[in-house]
Amino acid sequence: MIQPQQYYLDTFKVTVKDLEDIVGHALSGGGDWADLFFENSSFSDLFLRDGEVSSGGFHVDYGVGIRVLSGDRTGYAYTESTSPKDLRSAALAAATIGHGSVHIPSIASLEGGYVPRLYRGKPNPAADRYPIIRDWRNTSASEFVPVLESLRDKVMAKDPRIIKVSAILQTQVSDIMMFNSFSELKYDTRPMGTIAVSARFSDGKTTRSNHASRSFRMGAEMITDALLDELAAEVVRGMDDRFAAKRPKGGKMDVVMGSGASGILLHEAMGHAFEADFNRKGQSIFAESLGKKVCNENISIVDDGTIKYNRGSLNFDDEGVPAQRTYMVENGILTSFLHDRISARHYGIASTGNGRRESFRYNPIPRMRATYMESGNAAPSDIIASVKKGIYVDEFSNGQVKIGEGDFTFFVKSGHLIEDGHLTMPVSDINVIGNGPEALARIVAVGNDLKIDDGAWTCGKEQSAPVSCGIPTVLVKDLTVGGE
Amino acid sequence: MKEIRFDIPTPSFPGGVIPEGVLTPEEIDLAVLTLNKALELGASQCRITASKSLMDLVATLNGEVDKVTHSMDRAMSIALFVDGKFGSFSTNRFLSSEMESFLKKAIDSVRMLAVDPCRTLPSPERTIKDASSSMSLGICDIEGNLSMTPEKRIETALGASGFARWASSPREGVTVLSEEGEFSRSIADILLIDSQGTVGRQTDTAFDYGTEVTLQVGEGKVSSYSWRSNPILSKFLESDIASCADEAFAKALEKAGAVAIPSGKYTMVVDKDCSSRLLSPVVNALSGSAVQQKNSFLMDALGKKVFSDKVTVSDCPRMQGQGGSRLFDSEGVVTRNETVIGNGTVKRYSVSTYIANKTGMAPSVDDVTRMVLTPVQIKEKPSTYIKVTGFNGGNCSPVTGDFSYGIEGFFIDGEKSVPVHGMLITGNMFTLWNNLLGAEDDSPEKALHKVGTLTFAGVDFSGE
Repeated sequence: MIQPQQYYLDTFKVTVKDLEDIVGHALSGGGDWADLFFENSSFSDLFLRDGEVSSGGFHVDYGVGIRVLSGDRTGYAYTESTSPKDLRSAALAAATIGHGSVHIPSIASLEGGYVPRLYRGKPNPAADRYPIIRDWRNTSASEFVPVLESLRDKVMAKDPRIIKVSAILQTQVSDIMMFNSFSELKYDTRPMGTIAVSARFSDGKTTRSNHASRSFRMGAEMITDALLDELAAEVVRGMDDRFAAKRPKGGKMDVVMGSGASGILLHEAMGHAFEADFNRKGQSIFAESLGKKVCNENISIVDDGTIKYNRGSLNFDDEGVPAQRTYMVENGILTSFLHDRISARHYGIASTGNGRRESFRYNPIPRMRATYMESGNAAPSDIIASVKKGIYVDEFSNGQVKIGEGDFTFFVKSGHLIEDGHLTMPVSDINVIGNGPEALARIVAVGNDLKIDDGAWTCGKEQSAPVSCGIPTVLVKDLTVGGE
Repeated sequence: MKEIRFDIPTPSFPGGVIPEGVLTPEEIDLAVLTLNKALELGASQCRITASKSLMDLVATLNGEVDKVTHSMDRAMSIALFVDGKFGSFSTNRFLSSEMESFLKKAIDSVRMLAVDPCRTLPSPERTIKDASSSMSLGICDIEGNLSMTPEKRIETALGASGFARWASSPREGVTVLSEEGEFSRSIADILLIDSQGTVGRQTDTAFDYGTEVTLQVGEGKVSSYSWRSNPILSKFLESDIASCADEAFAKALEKAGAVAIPSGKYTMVVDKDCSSRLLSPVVNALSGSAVQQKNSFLMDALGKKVFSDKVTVSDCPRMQGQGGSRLFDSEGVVTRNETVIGNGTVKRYSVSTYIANKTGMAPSVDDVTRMVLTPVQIKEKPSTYIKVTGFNGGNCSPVTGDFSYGIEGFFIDGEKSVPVHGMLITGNMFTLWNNLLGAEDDSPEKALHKVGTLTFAGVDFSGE
């Protein structure tokens, strides 16, 4: 939601002249760029446990982050107050990066400004990617207690093996205002609603658990009966298979990744390695691959901040750059890294709007938004039928990557063996490991069924950031699957 | 209503000046005022946790300053018990002018929830009174903290870099792609008070340095890291931070040419720098909350022998001079050193007041502070094994104990050592810990948890 400029100035009790004054202080140590990030966040949570909604609360986080850049180098400080005295004090702390006592090498090799184009103009409410109909801040816990109770009832009714249900509703609304030494003033109000349910099941001998979540940049209007039905159906889905699941024999095999949440493959195996800070420092396994063919020409991979109401979407990134849809791989060629203003300057190009931060306490770094692969031509059933021996996976919990080596892993909550083109024994709780560039080059089939997963994905690269991922059904040759 | 007064313990500060990062008398007064105001507005019980911290960090890239940050945080966390109902709230706005309206809104919000008679403060005899951990645990070095001026912080960070040294005497076939270092000094102050007279204060400091090195060796990239940490500056400096960079360089170089070896059952030796990762799921399963929610593979295990005789794990929150030590938990309950698993038998769950009231189990503390695995001498050292030096992702099912983790390390066969990566270990926590062969007495001084090098028999590795 984008409100009038004065709303944000009033929220943070400052004037444009104050902002200019603080930026002036921030640059007083000799830095060549400064920006301010104001945040006023309201969080709430409501928990259902042991059948009742018996705890909850709300939380307030308010402050300003001040960044000073000197070449690629960063000075950062923040304050939890917007009084002129505290703002100036934080600005001077950040300014030390440009101070003579800090050893700053020559920046003569760095050409031009921080971005070759400026982002002038006021934020445009007509282009808002997450207009809010019902602001979470104007709602009360009393209206969501029945929502969680209804979700509990819907889940309990679906499977007699359920022994425990827990659920949570978390909300956040953040007023954000950004100002920088180009005098760009950007502002935004970012909502987020997340509802999640967990269930434990027992067949009398063993216990299993499952979890489902949905998260959107929306106000309270996101809570509908249809959403609760969707969550209830998902949390009980495939439980017969879960009880029957076994570990496969481990080793290298073909892996068919079902559409949707399998996008974690892109996030871990490729997305992080495309973030330009790792490449600027020469660490990424893809650092020398820009402009080169990295995979099959039928593959295009996108990082997108423009999907309406998506958890990873933004009107502006946390440096005030308009969010956009960025092709990282287009028809098999690595076309772009994901940039913040520092890396964009380093490479002499425009930022891709990927400068993100967890809160005013952190300096922005290149981060993904919604990362997905575009649809291909193959029918998912044909992809499965083409595999003689392998596994099909469709639910995941977490993943990780080692940037230098490019080794990535993701943890499979559920899937099936594939034997002679058919899904057979259910499998669960196995890790899959591979190498980013090798796995990308070994994607040999891309389905026609792209799906963006709307679960509550959070990326943990130094700081937490809400993201989402998606993928059509794909076949990856020769990944190593954990087993006994 | 009678106002509750507290005698707040105050650490001694050089020159009597309260350092940045420590709660001021005004902030402490606001915490007390908030507690009394909550009771006045209708709360039957209340707990306030006021916290403040300061961290100054200098990051280097390739031997030059890359980032300087100055971070100071405050938070007032408020646990409210109203009409048999419970809610928890927090704000970083320490403004007495806003606190009353904040509390009114919070209390109204709690009243909309379901009654839960199990939500209470801990019984007063279990909680801390008039305690300050700043000196008694030996984890607070205010003088050391203040002595690290901005110039010294930069000097320390730059002085620990190995980049220039490596550039002046390059190794054939090895290119240093990046060396990232981070030095930080920090101070944290926590005050916990409740409406039953509980008062606990913890003030501690920390000095940390870590470095990550990425090398190009032949066609491949390899990386590794090394770090030091201590709450006391003199001990931190004694820990030879200048050797961190060379350690990380050497560890990265050792990994060059790593391969995946054939799948199979191998003896596994897990290095002391990462072995606590395998004990964490066991300790998590001892959480009373997980047990009550039937989300633990150690449900119904109290008093039962479920692991090998060799497995004895203690919770040691009061280790002197060790970062992370604490005198009280998040409810203000007094901590004590206790055995949680003794010779394979589960001795203690971590049971908060809420879980104790729900289940009838005896209350203990909210969580394990520091895991300490008692060393066990191995009968016969293996000659053929996989030494795990790092984990890469993976997970453990809290319900079944089934796990699968990515690993890297070395295949050792007598004198032969082959670096391995891209492999996985898969199994179940019961089987793994019943196959413990030995635990060495070599846990790192710098680490929170004290778990040494571990040896397990018959672990399933997946590779080629």
